[in-house]
Amino acid sequence: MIMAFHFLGALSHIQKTTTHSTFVFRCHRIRCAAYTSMALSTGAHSAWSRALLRQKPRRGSLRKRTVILQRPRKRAVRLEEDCQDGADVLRRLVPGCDGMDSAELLDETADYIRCLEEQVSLMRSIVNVISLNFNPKS
Amino acid sequence: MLRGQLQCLSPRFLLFCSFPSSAASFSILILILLLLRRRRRRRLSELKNIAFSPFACFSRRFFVSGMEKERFFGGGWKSAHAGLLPEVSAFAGDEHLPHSFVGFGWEQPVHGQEAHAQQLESALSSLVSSPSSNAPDGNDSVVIRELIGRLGSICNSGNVSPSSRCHSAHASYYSTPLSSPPKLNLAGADHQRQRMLVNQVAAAPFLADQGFAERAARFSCFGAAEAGQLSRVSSRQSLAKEVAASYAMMAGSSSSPEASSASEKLTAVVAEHNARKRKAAPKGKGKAAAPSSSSAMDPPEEENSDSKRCKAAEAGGADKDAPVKPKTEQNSSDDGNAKPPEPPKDYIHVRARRGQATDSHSLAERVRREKISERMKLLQDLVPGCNKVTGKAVMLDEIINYVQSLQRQVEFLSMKLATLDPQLEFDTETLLSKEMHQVHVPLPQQVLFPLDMATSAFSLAQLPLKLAENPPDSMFSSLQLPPIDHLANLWEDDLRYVVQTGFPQSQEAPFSSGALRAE
Repeated sequence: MIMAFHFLGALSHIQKTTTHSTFVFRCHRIRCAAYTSMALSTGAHSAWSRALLRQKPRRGSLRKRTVILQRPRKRAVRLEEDCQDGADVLRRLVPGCDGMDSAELLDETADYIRCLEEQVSLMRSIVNVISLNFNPKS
Repeated sequence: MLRGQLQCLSPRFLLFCSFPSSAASFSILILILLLLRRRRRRRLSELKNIAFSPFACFSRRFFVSGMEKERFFGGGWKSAHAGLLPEVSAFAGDEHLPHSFVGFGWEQPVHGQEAHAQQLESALSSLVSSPSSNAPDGNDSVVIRELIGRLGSICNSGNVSPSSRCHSAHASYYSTPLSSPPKLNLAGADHQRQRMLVNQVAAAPFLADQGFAERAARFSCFGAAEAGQLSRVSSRQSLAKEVAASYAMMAGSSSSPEASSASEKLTAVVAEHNARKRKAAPKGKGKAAAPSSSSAMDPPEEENSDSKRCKAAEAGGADKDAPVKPKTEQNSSDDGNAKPPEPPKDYIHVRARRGQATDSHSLAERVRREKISERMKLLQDLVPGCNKVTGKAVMLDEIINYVQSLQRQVEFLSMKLATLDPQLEFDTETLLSKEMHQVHVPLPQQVLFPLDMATSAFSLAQLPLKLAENPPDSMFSSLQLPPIDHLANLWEDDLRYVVQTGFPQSQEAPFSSGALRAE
């Protein structure tokens, strides 16, 4: 629900501000809004959410979140073997998982997948609602 | 100290290869005993009053025994003691000790060539048992007794290695001494390590002489028992390997390839041993040895007692194996050790499994691997359709594919929203209210979503005319295309997702399969 709130707020904001922008630009904005709302709903206890929030705080409310990102994070000594597990692709996919252990990486991946699924379902439902609203009008 | 000692030892071992078997064995055993003395001595000196007494006992014992070997041995010990005792009292200058001792070991083979292996055995056993016999001496004998008791406990933990028959004999041999001492507080952790060590040594298939092998195992355990910490099992392993290799040298006559391989092995093992850090060994080991030595019998009677203990100990050994926790994962880099020691590390307590290596490195690796497999199982539940998949690599691929597909869906849904937004008056409140209804219901039933999405996609797709003709592989390039193509590609992508999630839709099946094939 936090995600829905954030995302819908972002969508409305984007709709208001980018009526004259290109489609691609709006797509990009909506995508960023989706990821940001994902990260906001997760909070700062996940590495990927922190990395996402660090990337592009487009909305004013996001600037408050930078306080969360400044938490000190202990980095344990990681053995080489742990990092070279063949999970490089996964590290690239999941944001903020660069110097991570394979075990932690899998944790982050699980969290990320859960959030992604939520976001996808949210966006789909929004699309449904809009399309349902849209169709009768057309 | 130990590193220096071993570094001194390794060239000695190499040199001893060239010696005749008995002399080499003798010198090597002396070296081992020296190791034992030194390590135990460190702890004894900590106790402050105990350092001198065991050596005094030994020298006394040797003078009393009157055996030629023993006398010589005692003489050698005595002269060694002269150098050792001040060291012990000063608790310094560890490097001097091996040199002086090795000097003795060097000289002794010259004299002791006539000595038989059994005489050597008896001398060594008397050496070990002497502190126990001198019960009134006080703490040191108790320490030694406990140490030997721990030695017994080593073998008591049980025999898993089927390779050696003397293995069970040795294990059973030490079990009864273990049962006797009641005050083995630290025994639990040490015993398993020692067990493994003893098993390693005893498992040497080339040890023909069972009694001799028993002695060797005992003494190696004796020395190893005082070595490093629980986490330094490998150091003891290497020590046992050294002993075993030296015995191999001896038992396998003087064939040069054996000796050279043994020497190589020794040097490698010693180097490995030196590379590891050693923490203070628990005192309880010394205590454990003492009671076992007290229960240890005189050389001529040992064989008889061994057979008795064998049967009693095997039962005890079997019991020891029971509390070992079973685990699912197997360590591929096993050393083939029979016993699982319990190394309590500083921050993670890990119990090695039966028949697995007890390296600190391999243990850490095993822990890490088990962590990863746990998380993989969790991910299997998240990622749909991964129940049948086994293996990390395939599972990893599936996870990557799923994450990529989810990310793609987010992209395309955002594109959908981008196209839909300007065409609609975006009322947040109404949307939210409708959203609440829709989100709550379908979330637990994700199967409905593809249907809704498909219908909506169909409705959306009917607007553009070029729908069916859009090639499926223009999906990614659609970002630059007009929205119509976006919708079509979105539709195809959603269909693909539908197929992936296993939602059966006959209408989309041909499209989806085509899309899949095209991808």
